[in-house]
Amino acid sequence: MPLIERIQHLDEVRAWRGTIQLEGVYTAGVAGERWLRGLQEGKIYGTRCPRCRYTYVPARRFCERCLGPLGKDTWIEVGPSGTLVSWTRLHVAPDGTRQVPPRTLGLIRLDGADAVLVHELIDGQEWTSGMRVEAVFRPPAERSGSIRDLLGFRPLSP
Amino acid sequence: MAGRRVAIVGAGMTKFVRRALETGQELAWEAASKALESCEMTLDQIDAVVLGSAPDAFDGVHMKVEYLSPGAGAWGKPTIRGYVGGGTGVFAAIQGWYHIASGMFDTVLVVCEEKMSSCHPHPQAAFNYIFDHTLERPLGPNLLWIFALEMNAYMTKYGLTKRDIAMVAVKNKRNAADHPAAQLGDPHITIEDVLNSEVLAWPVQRLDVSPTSDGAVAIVMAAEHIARRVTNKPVWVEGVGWSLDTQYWTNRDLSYPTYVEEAARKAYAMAGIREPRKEIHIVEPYDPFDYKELHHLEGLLLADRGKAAELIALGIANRDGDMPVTPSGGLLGVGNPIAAAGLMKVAEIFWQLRGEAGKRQVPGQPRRGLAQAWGDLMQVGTVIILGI
Amino acid sequence: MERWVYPVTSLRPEDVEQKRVCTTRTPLRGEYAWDAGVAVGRFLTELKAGRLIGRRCRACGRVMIPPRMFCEQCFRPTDEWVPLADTGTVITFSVCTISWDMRRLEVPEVPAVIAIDGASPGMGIMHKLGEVGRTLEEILDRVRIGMRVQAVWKPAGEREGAITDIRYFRPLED
Repeated sequence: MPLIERIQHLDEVRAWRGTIQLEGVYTAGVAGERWLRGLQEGKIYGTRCPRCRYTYVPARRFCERCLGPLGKDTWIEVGPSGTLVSWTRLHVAPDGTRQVPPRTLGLIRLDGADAVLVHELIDGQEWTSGMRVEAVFRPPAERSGSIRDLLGFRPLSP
Repeated sequence: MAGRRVAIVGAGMTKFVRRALETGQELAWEAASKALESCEMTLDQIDAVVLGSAPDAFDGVHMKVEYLSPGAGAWGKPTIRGYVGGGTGVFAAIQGWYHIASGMFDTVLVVCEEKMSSCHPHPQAAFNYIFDHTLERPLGPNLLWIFALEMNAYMTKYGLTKRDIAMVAVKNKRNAADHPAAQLGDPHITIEDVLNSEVLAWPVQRLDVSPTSDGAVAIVMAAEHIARRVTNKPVWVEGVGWSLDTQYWTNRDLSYPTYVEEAARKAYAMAGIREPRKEIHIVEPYDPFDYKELHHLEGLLLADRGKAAELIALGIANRDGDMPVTPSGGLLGVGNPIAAAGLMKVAEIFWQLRGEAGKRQVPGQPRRGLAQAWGDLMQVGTVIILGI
Repeated sequence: MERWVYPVTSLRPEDVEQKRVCTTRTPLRGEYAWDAGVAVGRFLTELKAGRLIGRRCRACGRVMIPPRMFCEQCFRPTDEWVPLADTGTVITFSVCTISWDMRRLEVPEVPAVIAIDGASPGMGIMHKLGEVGRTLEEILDRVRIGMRVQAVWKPAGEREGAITDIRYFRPLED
């Protein structure tokens, strides 16, 4: 006998609608807390693992390559200028609707860093990989210790 | 014994707290780096990583283990996630065992993490989504229902009182007072405190329940030839077992955890244990609620059905009793960052058998211990037996 | 072992509430339409008609509720629909005084597992009990495991093919 009984009438197809309703309240972590406070002061920090010779941005508390700690002496300021590694333009919003105007996101390798940072690209029309860009911060009074304290990156004025 | 001999050679953990500043990644790193340091090993000596964590909804990070992986030393290494709900902590150690027993790897770092404080309005809310979406969730259930329903079935079947069960909470929270990582240790708690605590879902009251916690635990496992080089006190995995009951929980006998018995029988057979009550010297059964410790002792065949409370009442389960039960302080006392809590129990047996448990040390040089966890939709039993 | 315990940075609720630490809040909101599937779809259709049904496996003889198109024990298709009564026996119950987000309820809820008459022994479904009192003490006085209960249905016009077409189960008069 068949495992599935065929449903003959469409009104017998039933679905139960529901919403998963939770809110995440995320702490930034030991390194993240310090990193965001840096943004609030208009500074972008990285941590450099002396053993692996790799600089993480955003700053991390440990090196994922060797699991060694990245203590206070490993914090260095990077940027605020850097090189655009790659970019994309978004025409579709997360809910599937059209994104008007489109947003542009880039991967930026800040000067002095090895890891790349993802953020908005602003104030520019033409973007090319390899071009030089610089960080644009919100005015100090509007900063709150958030990744949004950085408005984004714009082409570096020559 | 199947496969190669495998030992635990190191362990580390974070303190368990209600809310940590640390991200989940940082918690994983704190535990992992402590575990490596404890056996003087470095990440480049680790062949593979097992990462255990319970539902993604707690941390609020989908594909949570991929997110956690940098802190667990998984960069550039074969890595697997263990996930059987609350049973995860012990299951992750079992996965570490078979990674090595199979001959595939010589060393494995096992890390379990949970950061429940991220989940609002309350971590319990994440559990709403374990219920059947069509037949149960429309009734507006909460997680406590399922435990309260099981606890009542267990109490009624064997004529147990709330007082019989409250003794477990008292014992474990007192034991936890001697655990340096404990969130809720209390040397002075009494049965009256438990019986007078707020009713949540009768018969479950506030102090019958473990807290929600942030924390991580890690262990290092190694094949025999490595283990003997790394330490003069390897703790051997002697037996493992796990089993799953039907997801249709309303069709089960809620008064007895058959799945724990099935898991235990597999582990005993592998360890060559015929009389578990004589041959197991310390037990760390899973205790997210006080009645669960009793339920699980019966499933583990360490007490007759309905009789586990007598072990507590007679002091047999005390740290200085004939069969110490939950000398760590358990989930009720040390705290319950879900997956990490299960692995904490494995780490406790490791420290106890090595004589390194400090103020919690069980007297008489115990030689064999058992850790057990439980989870999924109240349906999985995971058991590991360790010995020296 | 104290050496191998990392002393984490523990926060108090006010550290977050008063924004002494940087936190990010993100709602995790997902909207779903969960298909009821073949067995439960039919079960819901019957609920709308005011009936409970189960499913029999001829290999093991079990009559199962909630119904399923396969027997997870015999691992074969189940064979036939079986009409069940809307009466049953309380296998276990709780008196819940808090909501899913840990707020106190003025009137406790009484979730229960109820073995349905006509299904195999021990085959229960989760539902709530009603007409059993409004306080913990009253409810504990009136409800017991083994108690006989009967479904209280919504009026036919209000039923929508949902488990909530049964409002609750109430004690069955002897």
